[in-house]
Amino acid sequence: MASLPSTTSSGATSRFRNIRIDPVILTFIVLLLLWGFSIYRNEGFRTVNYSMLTLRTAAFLGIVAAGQTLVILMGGIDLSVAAVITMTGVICGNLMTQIGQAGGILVTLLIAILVGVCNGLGVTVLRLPPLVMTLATLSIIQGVLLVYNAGKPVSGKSPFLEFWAKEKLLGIPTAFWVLVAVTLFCVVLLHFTSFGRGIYAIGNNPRASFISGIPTTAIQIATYAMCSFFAAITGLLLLGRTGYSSKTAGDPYMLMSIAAVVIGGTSIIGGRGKIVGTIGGALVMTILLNLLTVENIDESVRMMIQGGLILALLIAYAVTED
Amino acid sequence: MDKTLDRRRFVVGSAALTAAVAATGHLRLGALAQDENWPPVEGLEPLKVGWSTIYTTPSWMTETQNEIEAEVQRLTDLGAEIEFQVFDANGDTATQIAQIQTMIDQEYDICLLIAGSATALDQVVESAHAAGVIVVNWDSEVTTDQLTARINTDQHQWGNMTAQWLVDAIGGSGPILAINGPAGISVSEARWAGAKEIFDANPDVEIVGTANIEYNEAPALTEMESLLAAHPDVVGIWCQAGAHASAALKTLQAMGLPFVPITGENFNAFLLQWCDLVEDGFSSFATAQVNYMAVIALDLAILAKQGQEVPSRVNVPLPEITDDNVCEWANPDLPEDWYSIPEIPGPAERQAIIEEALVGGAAPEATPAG
Repeated sequence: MASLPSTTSSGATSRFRNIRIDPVILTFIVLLLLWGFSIYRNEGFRTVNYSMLTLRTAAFLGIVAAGQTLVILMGGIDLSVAAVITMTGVICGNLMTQIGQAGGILVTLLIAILVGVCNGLGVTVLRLPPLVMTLATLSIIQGVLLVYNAGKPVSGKSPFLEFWAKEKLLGIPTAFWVLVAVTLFCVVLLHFTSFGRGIYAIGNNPRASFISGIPTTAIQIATYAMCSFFAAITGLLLLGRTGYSSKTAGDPYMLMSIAAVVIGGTSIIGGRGKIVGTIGGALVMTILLNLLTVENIDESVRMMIQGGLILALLIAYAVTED
Repeated sequence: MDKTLDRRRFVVGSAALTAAVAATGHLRLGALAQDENWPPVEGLEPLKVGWSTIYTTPSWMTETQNEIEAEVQRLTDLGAEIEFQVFDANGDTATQIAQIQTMIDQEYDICLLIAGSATALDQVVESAHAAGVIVVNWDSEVTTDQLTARINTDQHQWGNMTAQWLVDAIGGSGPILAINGPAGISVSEARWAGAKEIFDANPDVEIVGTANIEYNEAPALTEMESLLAAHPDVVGIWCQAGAHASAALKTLQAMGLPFVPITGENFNAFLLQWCDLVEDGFSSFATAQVNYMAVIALDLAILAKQGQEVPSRVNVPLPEITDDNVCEWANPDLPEDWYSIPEIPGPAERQAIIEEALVGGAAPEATPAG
């Protein structure tokens, strides 16, 4: 009896499954399509100046998302990045008025690293689920900021931060150069060091990694510390961009950073993914949000399109998985 | 600013109000003496007061909390015994419902309320009211009438007056942008409804771009860059919030575009820029959601607890911040992520506001703090 496999849905799916495409390539195909559509739709988007603004905005997201990628690759997640971004602006803004720019920035970065170490200790030593631990950290930081300086976010101006947030170097926004540096660091870390291989190994099987002698506790603590450090860099750049610290500055970045990682093709359960994909994901998110803003469509439709794109990409990754 | 004049204007107004109230026979709360010890706390049992708010993080909420705590301290100094507790729902309406239920279970006397949802809290608020808890609601309101009182500015009027100023400023025609707060937030929707009414009545004003942006400057900067890149020829920008107005003004400058009229709010970052740029030709119009509604709410609740008649609604007028008085409102001594605090009316002035509301009048307009 003749079978009709090609007309069934399972047959179609298995046919798709035969197409092996790296999710990163898919991300960049979507990025190109979106970018092309956006410049086709809007004359104002065709200027070099606007493209540079887009790169700058994507850089703020890309930097925090790079840290999130490291944690997610390891099978974790960091919900506290939003609070770290906010905390960085509020504390650095205040400290700079007391101990100067350099001191304020350095102390703030150290505090951010300490937050990451606490996250790592909670996950490894206390064995708390990353979701719970980092959510608790988020809540604690928000509480501390409410009483820090009686809730008044004092702002110190910093020409140094303004330069790295708003200026250009060789015609490219300085913030994007920061993203390039962060990306190169992560690529080297992930693909050319035993530390990076440890991150992938823990993401694939933490128990097996431990038994095989990988220092899983140290790697996890250090990775959470790096994630907080990168979130703090975004926080500092946002402080430079707006010129003042705000108690809600980091709010949009909690879910956006995770979305950029997922759109970039990194597996949400860990073990698979590339940092370059996340950078593509940050650009996709930025261009999509810009496009939805100027298309003048209802907010509810915008939210549905945003969610729909993430869902469509996840399905595409699943059926074309390498 | 000439604060003496403002004070004198208020005292004259209060005197006239006293006469009017006395003449109409509505003198319900005893003598209208300018009593700095008002509201009366003699004979009050120890009170459990809770402030249920959808969140405390934004600066406006922090300022509000500071004002409530200062008033609790003042009342304590007058001899009241008050146990004050903040219930922060952290943005979650379900949490806020549970927290109000906790207040009922723990027999709180007073529930001060900023609602996270116009309708979802109705049932628990009605339960609190039925259980004898004095519920006073301000800023974001619930829908139910089963509560002690509401205090608010008119958000629809906010949209009306700012949109009308913009229409006049651009000569009644041309392309504009309209920037709103997050979709679904009652304050944002009410302001937009008020503004749209004016724009619809002026068909030559074309809204070429709209956006819903949270009250946060960083994302507003990004969205303004996109909107102004797509529509560099706009002649005006209607913003319902200060963080949006600040982002719009910064983006115009960053993109090298000429100043256009922008509406805003008493957000200090915006006011400071505006004050600096008035002489360069930048023009704006803004208003304020006054924090001291919280203080009036607590005072009114104390009166209700004393068994005195209180108004079910207190209307607080929206102040007008213009090119002429913006530098009185802008405060370089305050953080930029802060709302330039209007002068808090003294106890006697608040007494007059509540008593005026009893006869259906409006409170005097807010003025910048000195």
